[in-house]
Amino acid sequence: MNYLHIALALGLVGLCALISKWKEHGPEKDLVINSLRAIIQLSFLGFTLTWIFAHNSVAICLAVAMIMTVNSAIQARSRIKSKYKGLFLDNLTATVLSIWPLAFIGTFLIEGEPWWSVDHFLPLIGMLLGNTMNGISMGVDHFTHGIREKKEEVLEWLALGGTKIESTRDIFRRSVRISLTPILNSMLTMGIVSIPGGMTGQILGGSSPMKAAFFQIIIVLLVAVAAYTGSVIGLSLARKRLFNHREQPCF
Amino acid sequence: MLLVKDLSLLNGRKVSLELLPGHSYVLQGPNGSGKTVLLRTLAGLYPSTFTAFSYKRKNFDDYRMDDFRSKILYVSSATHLSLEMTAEEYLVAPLKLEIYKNHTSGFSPDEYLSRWELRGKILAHLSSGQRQLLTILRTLTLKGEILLLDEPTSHMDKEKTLEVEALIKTWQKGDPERTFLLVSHSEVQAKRLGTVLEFSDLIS
Repeated sequence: MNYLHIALALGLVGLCALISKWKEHGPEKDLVINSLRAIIQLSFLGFTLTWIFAHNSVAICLAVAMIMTVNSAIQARSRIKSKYKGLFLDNLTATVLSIWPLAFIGTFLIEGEPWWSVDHFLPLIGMLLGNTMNGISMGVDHFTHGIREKKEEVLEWLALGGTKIESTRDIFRRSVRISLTPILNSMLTMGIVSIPGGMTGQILGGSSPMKAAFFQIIIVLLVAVAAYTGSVIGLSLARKRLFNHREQPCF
Repeated sequence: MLLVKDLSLLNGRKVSLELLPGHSYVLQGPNGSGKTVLLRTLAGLYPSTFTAFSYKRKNFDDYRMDDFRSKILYVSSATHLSLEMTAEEYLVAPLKLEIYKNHTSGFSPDEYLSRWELRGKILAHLSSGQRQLLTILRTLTLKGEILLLDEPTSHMDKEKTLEVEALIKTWQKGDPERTFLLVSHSEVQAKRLGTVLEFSDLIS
């Protein structure tokens, strides 16, 4: 495998871009730019991980994981259309509380190694962030958008004597469901319709399919737990912010 | 009984008023003057500031909010709950709230469901006036001590309006402390029901 192979794969993207331009489908610019971005980002990741693994330093590992976590919270914030004051901090809290403990647990489960095994912790936390951030932000967006759109319904429940938790229960439940939908759906098709990307990478990289499946099982279960805990924490924090201490809506 | 001084409303105005036990009040004022906002603020639903806000000599901030709101019961002129409910489901919907655990009111809406032909009907298929009838029935099954009724009969015909007024008066007789404040644009209704409060007179 060398740069020629990457150039060939990129050539296919270029061909699509040409067809898209000729037929005026629209996405040719994004196709090319985002492909180049992916190449740069992944190459950078390859170099960085090599460097970090070579140093095998806990401090560097945790610092990089923190940068990734902050980035993920920024991304989540930008995906939530219906924002509120303190959203970034809540995203960060939800991510740190749900994903970091799971990354430690995951590192231990995979090799029985302690958490400072740098070459397992970092990929794991990246994987958990990537697979849960989207679902969590979709759920929080549904919640913040939903209670604003249905403010009169929330007010009616409050007026009847409902607490803020009771008055937003239906929207909260639907939001948790939405956060979990991507992982629940992919769990159903995994191995029947699709081979997960991580497992493909491992098999292509020379691992035995059984070993790759074992890792994938652990990962998918951790992603499900992370999506659930992350969304419940993120939604609870959002609910706390959107009411004042007298349980009056401030949204 | 319910006392507020310099209670700030969302539109920036401040009002003061006192509701006495066992009384009936009708609040009047032009469209957009802030009657609904006042009622909702009195029920503790909107953020506000005040120099005094108490019910039965206990400060607003010393109440649990769900307890306060179930006592100072605000009733909107139109429901915003799911219209896919049946009349019966609508009536019992609040009873799933913690505050109504073990709660039974003396009032049974059964007779009126039949009389007004509302039994088994889905809310979406009812007129605004029929939904208002259900809202009044639902309100009387709860444990409001002061009812803040926001144009409760605005979509009802004359005959139903009188029936509902009688129903509210009967409810009031159930306890000497029961009070209501009703928003109405009808002079006749105001005269029939009780003391008229002019919104502009409440501004402090």
